[in-house]
Amino acid sequence: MLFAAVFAAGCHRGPRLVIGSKDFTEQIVLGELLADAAQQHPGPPVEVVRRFDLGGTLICHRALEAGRISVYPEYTGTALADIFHQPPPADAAAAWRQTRADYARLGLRISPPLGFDDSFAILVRQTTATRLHLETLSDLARVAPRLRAGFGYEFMERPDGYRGLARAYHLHFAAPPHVMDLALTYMALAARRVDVIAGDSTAGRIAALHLRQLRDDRHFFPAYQAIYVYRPEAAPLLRPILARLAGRISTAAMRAMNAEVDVDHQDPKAVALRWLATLPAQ
Amino acid sequence: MRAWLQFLIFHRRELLQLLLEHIGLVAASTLIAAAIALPLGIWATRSRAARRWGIGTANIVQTIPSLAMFGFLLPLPLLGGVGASSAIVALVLYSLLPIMRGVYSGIAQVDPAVKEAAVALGLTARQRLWQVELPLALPSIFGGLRVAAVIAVGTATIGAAIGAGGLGEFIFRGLATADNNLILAGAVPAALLALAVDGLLGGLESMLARRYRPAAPPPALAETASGA
Amino acid sequence: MPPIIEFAHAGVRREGRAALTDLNLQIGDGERWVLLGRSGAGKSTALKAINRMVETSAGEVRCQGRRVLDWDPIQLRRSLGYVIQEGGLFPHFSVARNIGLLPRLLGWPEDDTRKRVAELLEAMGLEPARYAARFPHQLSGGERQRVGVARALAARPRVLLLDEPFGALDPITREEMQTLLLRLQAETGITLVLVTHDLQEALRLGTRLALLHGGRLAASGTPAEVAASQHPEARAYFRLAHPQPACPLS
Repeated sequence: MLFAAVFAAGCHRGPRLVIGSKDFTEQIVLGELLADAAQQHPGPPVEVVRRFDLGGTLICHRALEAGRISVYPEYTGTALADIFHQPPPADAAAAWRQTRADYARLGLRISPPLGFDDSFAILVRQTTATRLHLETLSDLARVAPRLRAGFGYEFMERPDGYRGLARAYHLHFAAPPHVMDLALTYMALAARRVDVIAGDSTAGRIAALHLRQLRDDRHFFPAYQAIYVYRPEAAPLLRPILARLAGRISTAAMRAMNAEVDVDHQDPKAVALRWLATLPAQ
Repeated sequence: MRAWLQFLIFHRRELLQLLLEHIGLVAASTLIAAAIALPLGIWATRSRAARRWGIGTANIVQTIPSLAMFGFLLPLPLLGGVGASSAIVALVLYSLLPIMRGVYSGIAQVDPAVKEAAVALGLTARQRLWQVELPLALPSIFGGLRVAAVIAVGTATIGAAIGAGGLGEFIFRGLATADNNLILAGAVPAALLALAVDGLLGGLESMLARRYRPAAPPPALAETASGA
Repeated sequence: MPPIIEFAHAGVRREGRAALTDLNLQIGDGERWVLLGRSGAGKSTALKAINRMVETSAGEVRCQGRRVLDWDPIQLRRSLGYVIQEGGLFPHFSVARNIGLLPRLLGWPEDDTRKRVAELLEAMGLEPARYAARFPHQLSGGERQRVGVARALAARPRVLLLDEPFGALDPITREEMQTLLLRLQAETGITLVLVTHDLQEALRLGTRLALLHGGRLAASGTPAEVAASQHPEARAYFRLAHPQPACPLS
């Protein structure tokens, strides 16, 4: 197993690509996307090995450093905060450059931004947004004293979570936010038990539950642009494939794919293949 | 260990508040569950249908994962919602089975000769229940309460998932930030609380058992717990 | 004098089969009746039909001139004493509380109840000062049975029903209990209806025997009349008794 997982293009007939992912839907879909794009790539057939569902950020990172996997999907803000322990800048381009530089010091490379951002998303029901004319977080701050909020524990604890947000926008809700399980905040919002939650910008449930994400007009949330991180040996093979994907996956597209897996219970591979079919070939 | 103790001392006020919230959740839910399960358990000794449906339903409820249960409870008016009420309702539902079992098996195991004597002496059904069956079932009823309360101490930590507070809040916060000190600050007091509740109710149980000592060697309690 | 208890074509069905069929018996006031038979003969069923622990499905049972079905079962049971094999004492009540239970339920003044308990303990050969505060598990089998009899007599019933009361006792204790019961009956004139499968006990205690077999009455009357019966069950019973040198008829 260990041997099979090692990236060893030279010893085999075709090049070999071991793709990892963290343990949630979006990561698995991104892993599938890359795997299928690699297999569709013209040239000598690529032997693709899937190592999905590995666990959290640090596990994936260590596997990549050790050469057990060749590539996995990551987010700029997450890499900066959790791997390199740096405050992630709010400016997306600056964050990407800093991420690339940090990884380069470890001898690793990153792809251009894939096109979407997976950050905290302040969500309200569409009906609430329409009734109170909410577009941005500044709009929200205006009516917050009439609203109830429910946030997950992570959002309450992180410096780039509730505390920072409340300071940045002078947010004051009707009562201190209910602190609860992240998944339950979506249900509480849909059940009208709370009016504002902090979810994931790419969550499939945003569309399914008729929610609206409010725009971060003061750019408080750091950029969590999706990228692939890879080992230099895989660069010759990956570079053209990544070029095909880069900038193409919009937030709406990622949300839709997440929804197809999470809400409609479709197979991630089928979802990935369907989306790839909409891409122009190289 | 030392760093953790310092952490606890630093957070002692919060710890105390969460501990009190936790005790509140457990006490409220166990008392409400007892008030519901006591008549249900008595009814189960009187009617085969009640026994099958009551204990069967409580059994199924027991297997519902707590997050799923909160999902059902969230939209409910009055009982559900965000906060302590949903958590208490869930804890009550989880506590019904052990208490009902304790009541049912306690009464079912009263010596048939004693029950026959109570009928033959001319005690009314109510007098038989209050003067004979319930006092003799008391140790078993307390056993059920004890199991329910100890389980509730553990389960109440999940109440933090729906904003009910309690020691689970430390655990959830610790998990969200990978902070072991926080996780332990919730988990260790919860475990100690479970031991304390178990010891307290266990002491009460053996006190009652001494008071209402059965004539014969004590009957095995577990055997007919889910008997037909 | 009308019989204090009367079975007229009484039948009982239990769990779909006949436990008692067409029983006719007239139990006179102050008599000592023994319902005799093997297990399953229907003798306990007959006894329980008297205080409605089982309900008759045919014919009727009368108690003090009234159909038992017309009695309130609670009142009926309170007017009849009842003793069961293992005593059935309430394990969470002291001896005094066990005996005093029915008088208290009947609303006797506390003083009367206490006096009655002491008097009964005395009559049973149990020193009140030593026994009143004890709990059933602190008593021997014979003592428990004495308390059981005392409890049944507490509210001064006119009839005492006993369901295999001494079956679980050793022979010596059983003999003591029989003597005690006979003495009590002689003193109070209470009517006894006692169930046993033991012919020796029946002959020792009964002025009248009713031999039951398969839920039906095989023979009844004085011991001599039953002994003379040609019914096969009566023959079987008395053949058993035959090797004994003498029948201790009382």
